[in-house]
Amino acid sequence: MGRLGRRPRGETGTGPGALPKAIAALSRALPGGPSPETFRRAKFDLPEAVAELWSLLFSLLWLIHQEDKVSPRDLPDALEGQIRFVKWVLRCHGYGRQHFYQLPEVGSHGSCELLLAFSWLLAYLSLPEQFLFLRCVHQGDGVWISSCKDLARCPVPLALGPKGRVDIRYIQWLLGKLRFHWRNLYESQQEQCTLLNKIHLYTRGCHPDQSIGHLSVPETEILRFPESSKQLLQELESENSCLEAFLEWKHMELVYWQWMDTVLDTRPGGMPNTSKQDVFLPEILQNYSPKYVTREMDRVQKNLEALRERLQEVVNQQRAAWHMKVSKCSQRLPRPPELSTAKRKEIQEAVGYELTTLDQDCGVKRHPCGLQRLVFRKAREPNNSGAQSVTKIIQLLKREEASLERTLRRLQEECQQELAILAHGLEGVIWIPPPYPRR
Amino acid sequence: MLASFSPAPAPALHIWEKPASTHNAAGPGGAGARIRGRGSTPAGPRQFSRRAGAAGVCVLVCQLQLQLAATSPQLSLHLPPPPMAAMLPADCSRRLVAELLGALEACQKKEKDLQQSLARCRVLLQPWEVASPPSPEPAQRRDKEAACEPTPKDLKELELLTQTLEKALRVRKGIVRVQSEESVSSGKAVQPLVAAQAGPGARPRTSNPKACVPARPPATSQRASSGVKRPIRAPSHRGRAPKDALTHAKQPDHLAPLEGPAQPCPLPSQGQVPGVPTSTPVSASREVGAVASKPGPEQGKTPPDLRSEPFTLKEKGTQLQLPLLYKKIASRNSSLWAQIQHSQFDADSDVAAAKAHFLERMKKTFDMPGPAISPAEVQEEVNRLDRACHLLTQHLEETLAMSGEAAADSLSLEQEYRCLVTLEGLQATVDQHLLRLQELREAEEHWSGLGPAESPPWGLGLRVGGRGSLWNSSRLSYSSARELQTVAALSLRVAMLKQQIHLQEVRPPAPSTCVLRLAPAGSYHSDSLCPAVRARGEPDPVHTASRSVRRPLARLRWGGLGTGRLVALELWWSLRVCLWCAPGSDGGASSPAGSREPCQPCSAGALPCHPQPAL
Repeated sequence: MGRLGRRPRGETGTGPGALPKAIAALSRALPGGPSPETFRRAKFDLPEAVAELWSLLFSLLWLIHQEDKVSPRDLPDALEGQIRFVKWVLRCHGYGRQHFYQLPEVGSHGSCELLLAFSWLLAYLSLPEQFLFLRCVHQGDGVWISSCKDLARCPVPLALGPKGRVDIRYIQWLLGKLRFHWRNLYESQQEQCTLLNKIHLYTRGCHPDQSIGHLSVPETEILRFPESSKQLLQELESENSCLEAFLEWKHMELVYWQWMDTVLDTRPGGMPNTSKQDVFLPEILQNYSPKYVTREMDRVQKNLEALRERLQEVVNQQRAAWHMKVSKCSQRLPRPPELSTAKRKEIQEAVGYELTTLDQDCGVKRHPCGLQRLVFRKAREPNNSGAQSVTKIIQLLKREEASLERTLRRLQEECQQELAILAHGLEGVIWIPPPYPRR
Repeated sequence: MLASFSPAPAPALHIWEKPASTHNAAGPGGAGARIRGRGSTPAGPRQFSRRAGAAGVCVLVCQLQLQLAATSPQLSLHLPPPPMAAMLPADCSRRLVAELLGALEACQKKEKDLQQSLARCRVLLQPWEVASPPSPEPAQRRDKEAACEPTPKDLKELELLTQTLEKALRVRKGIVRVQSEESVSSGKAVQPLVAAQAGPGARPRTSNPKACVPARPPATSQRASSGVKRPIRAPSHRGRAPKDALTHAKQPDHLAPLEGPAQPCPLPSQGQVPGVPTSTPVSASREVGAVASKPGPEQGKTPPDLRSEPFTLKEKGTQLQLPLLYKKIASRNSSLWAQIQHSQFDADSDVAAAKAHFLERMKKTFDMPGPAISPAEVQEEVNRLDRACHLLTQHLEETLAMSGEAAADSLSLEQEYRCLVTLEGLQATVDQHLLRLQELREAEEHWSGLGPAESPPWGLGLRVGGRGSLWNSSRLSYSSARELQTVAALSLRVAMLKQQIHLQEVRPPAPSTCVLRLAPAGSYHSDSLCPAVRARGEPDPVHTASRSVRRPLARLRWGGLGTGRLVALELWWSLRVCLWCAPGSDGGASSPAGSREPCQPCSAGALPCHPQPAL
């Protein structure tokens, strides 16, 4: 254990067999990785490597983009469909070599182009890392807490919506149905928590790792159904070999990139070729749907503008209050209690720091894979395993909840005002706004 | 610590106490909706039937159906279809409906997953039965061993027989109890056993495996010498009072793994039932023998006894032992992950430089037309800005709440200044974000200008991964079921609020168009509506506070003034009010836990969202 981790980097650097080894490690770390020989052929643009590289690209990209499916997709089985899919995805990621897109969809030549595209994806999307997380095996409990957050945002295809006019009652029915689902979800979640806790409680002391201390559901299932748990063991084993290969690859990666440099040297940049451009571009891009993005943009812009307006108002108020306070103080006191420049600077820096962290927070994505393992620990037990405590998460969630509630109430009030204005325009209608609970 | 959060969920939860049972919300149409559920409002059904008699109460009735579907018990109502269909134009409702459907789908999927994992947990907590665990693929195995193993039917009979015998013994136990207790405490052979198992009981986490090891030689010898007595003694142990039974029931478990392949613990009734069980020990010992012959198979490490008697996790969970093979693989797995997490590959090495160099060189060869930002990046940036907007709003709310709580005078100059600076900073950030959004829009237009915009055959989502913090696996520790429930409820609540806000945001933009485009209402006789109005205005012992509001509102709705418009208004009411007082939305400290008070917007009469005791 740790054999690879301790190996000094210099040792793995150059050497006659280093490159094939690195590539072999890479192919073991990726699902369906090709042999080093394929890469060598591709460097010399031999046609034998084409089919293998296309299918490699396709399977990798397909797996990655399968993650966030909204509706089940059909696997394009024909080679042509697969090639088009690969081209589409690469285009969406901004890969811009014309030569690549001009490759024929029968897969007859262009293995060097494919090698370049593959390497670009490898570096740009960090493919091996993504696959580690995509395929990680859950031994512990606790995936569900984080996954619940994803409920709110899922891109909805407009095609789901009705074509013609809509009955009000239909909408109301949907609203009611949604409420029922929330309730059910809540109920099952609570029960789930109780059951999980029971299992953790009853199996205390069974886990070989002292810092965990109890079994998780999958682990208990191993004992309960030894037959069916073989699958889990196999998965774990294959994950282990993947991880080993990944570590190996990580330590030998440099050789690969140096080699890719030589590949690029032999391959001049894309030659200007305008004749086919009109043919392939629309073909690829017709698969890219900007509608969803545009809608999202509209929504975000609306929100940001509303926020800006609100901020404008609040800042004006605050500024006025500030000036008033300063003038008041200066009237009362013989010497105006101006804030010193140093103090001001200090405050400005502190606030600037706060805002920067805020900005960084929105950049960080929570990884979808729930690697967090839920660990039960009695209240007064020392927490020595470096585990994050749920209490912290509760605090964060409470903050978020409070803020969301305020936002929602504000939106409701706005809507109420809109309605009031609207109702005033109707002749003979008395408008009685509903009382809102104000806190 | 615990006290600080425990009261919070209670108010939020009390509305949800009632499960919606098996209800699949009644169909959108008014007619013939079969209503069932569990209700807490005795007055509900009676009132409702009276109201239902009023013909043509369209929207109200169908809302009531919706509501009562969840609340009123044993009722099967057949209502006349509402005479009027209030239609909304497509353009203003399409998005909303699509979003609603999407939300429903997400909820359903989540629910399904949850149900599955619930079922898994339940199975584990049920008694672990012997011969045929309902594992997904037990069939093959059983076929192979069917020849020498008793059939499930046999085993079931045997089990029943055992239970009966146990019961009989329990009855007899009262008499023998004192005697047997003496024999246990004085018997020499039993003594070390009791000592050995005191360890695991007291300190289960550390001493369980170790405690077994020193106990081996005496236990084995004891087993060999006292084999004959066993059938008599074991039943007497099992007949103890439940509290004792647990500790004593452990005895065979500790014996069993130590015995090795000698013999598995026999069923207590074995001696008494000559015909049936002969095959049980044979097959079981065969199994144990097979286990011993090949080192480290998966199932070998469960104490053999666990497979020969039904037991629950609660009783013997702490004695479970993970198979050696699994332990090995799992520890290797976790050490590998730890290695990956702790080595900073890209941060310090030449690899990062080489990669960057390669990407740079590749970029120079890119010769396709198009903006610098790729569509995937556009999408990710939009998501980022969305998150940013959310976080900025949160920050604003918090800043305002902080300065708003204290009286204006009590704030020090510094605090005041800090607040001002924060707000100005937020303003600047928002401006930046808007500029960025404009850039993205331009890129987006460029991309969509390149080709016809059709929906892709492979779905919508694009994902750019690999950046951001990938390696943040850790453990999440909790200290009680209550805490876990709180965190689950809160995260669900947050998700729900987000969804609500989202729906609020995508509602049709201009309500006026909806109202004006509505078809004129069908004609109503205001008389026929009277019961409804009166029912609404009836004295209400619980919610006297809101009564004054409800009555005029009822008049407004059913007063015969342009009902079509009012129906539209009602939709706006319902969108704004009714959805928003979905379960838990009034979960503040305002209403005491346990009281079933509808939240205020509902009791104001817009829509009966919750069971209203005496409408």
